[in-house]
Amino acid sequence: MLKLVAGLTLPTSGKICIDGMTPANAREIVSFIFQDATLLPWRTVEDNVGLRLELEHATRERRKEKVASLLELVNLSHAAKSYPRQLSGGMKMRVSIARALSTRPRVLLMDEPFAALDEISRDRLNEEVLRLQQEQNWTALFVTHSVAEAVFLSSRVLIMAPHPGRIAYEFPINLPYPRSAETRQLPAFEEYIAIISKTLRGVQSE
Amino acid sequence: MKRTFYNVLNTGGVLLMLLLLWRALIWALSIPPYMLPTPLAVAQTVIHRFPSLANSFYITALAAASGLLASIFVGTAIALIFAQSRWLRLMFLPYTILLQTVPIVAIAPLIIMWAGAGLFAVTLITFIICLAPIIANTTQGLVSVDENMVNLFLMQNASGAQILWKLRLPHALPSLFTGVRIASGISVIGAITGELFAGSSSIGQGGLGYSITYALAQLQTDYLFALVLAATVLGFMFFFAVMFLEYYFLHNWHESARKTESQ
Repeated sequence: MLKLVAGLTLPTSGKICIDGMTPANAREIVSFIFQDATLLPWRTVEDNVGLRLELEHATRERRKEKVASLLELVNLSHAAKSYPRQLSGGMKMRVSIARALSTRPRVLLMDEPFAALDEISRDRLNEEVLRLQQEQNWTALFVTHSVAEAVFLSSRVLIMAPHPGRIAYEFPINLPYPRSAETRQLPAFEEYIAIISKTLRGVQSE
Repeated sequence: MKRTFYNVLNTGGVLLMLLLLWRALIWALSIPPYMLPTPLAVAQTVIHRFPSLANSFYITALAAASGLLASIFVGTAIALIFAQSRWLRLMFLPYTILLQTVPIVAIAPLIIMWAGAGLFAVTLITFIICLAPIIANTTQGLVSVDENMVNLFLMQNASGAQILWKLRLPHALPSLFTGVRIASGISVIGAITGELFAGSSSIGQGGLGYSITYALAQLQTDYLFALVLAATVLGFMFFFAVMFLEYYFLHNWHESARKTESQ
């Protein structure tokens, strides 16, 4: 589904509209964050973050300036000269996020970006994603298998059902922003997880 | 530091023992010098005939290096073409295997008949046997790029040239080096094989391969040994030159080069 929105796959029928544009035209305001960090191993962290600006033929000075501020944003300024192999999984993902944000997107497509991480790094990155969202105010379409992650991050949770693939249910999440680690302790948070998990089981046994 | 010292000592010790065994065999079986010269005789020949030895060495090194370089350029170019389409690969890749399986000894006389004896024919023979591993490995490296990495570039509306230069080529570099490492070993073999047939040059003296046939015919067994020694040194030099380049270009980021670093 994310590939359809990104214009990487063509729909068999129907139309996709992003802010009134077709996916191919909307690429300038859309960024994709893949399941793996997809960093280029032969580039340092800063050159990886600057990749998209480089492809846009941004000047060297502008690139340097933007990369520095992006690395600061994801707290990786100290690792600017490192190569991806020297980073942990969570750090790689933060580099990937910085790269995605480098073109000032209005829509972020995130394909299970934290699925391969341990729970602690995952929770911390979730909090960081929310912080970045508050600061930059983009919209994210976030695919995940973790109900807790979905509830924590989202204002709307859509549940998809198989055969044929479709959106079966929608849950608005009315937890107050800004959310933090304490949000996970709220009774309402637990309730959302319980309801959504139950619905999810129902969808799968259909 | 201490460990390297002991390593050198051990390796040196083995060499010394082999040389002693060699000398002892000649003494025990009273082998005549034209069958097997003593290590000392070989060493003396290396010193006495050093100029002609060095000249042969240079001629062979030149042919092997030119053939190898040509095969790297042409092989990479062919791999770039192959990387463009699956159909091209299916149609032509089997023929590169043919290139590898045809015994070079069998077609070398043909090549000499067409190209004329001399440095060019030898370079051509080297080029032909070096080509296959480079094409095969580089093509593999170019096409094995992670799909999402390509998607990343496509999302940015990157041009085909940008995807090639900034993604596919750097990604293929480790594979290219694997190909070059294999080719560097066989380039010396190829050059010497070529010279066995085509090495007689008008300059007065041929490369190592030619000199080997000449020394054999003259029963100059000590010089033959010196030539074999020179060929071995040449092979080592090529191998280490490629190892060094591989380390230089890859040690920052690639696993294979990093392992040699930590050992």
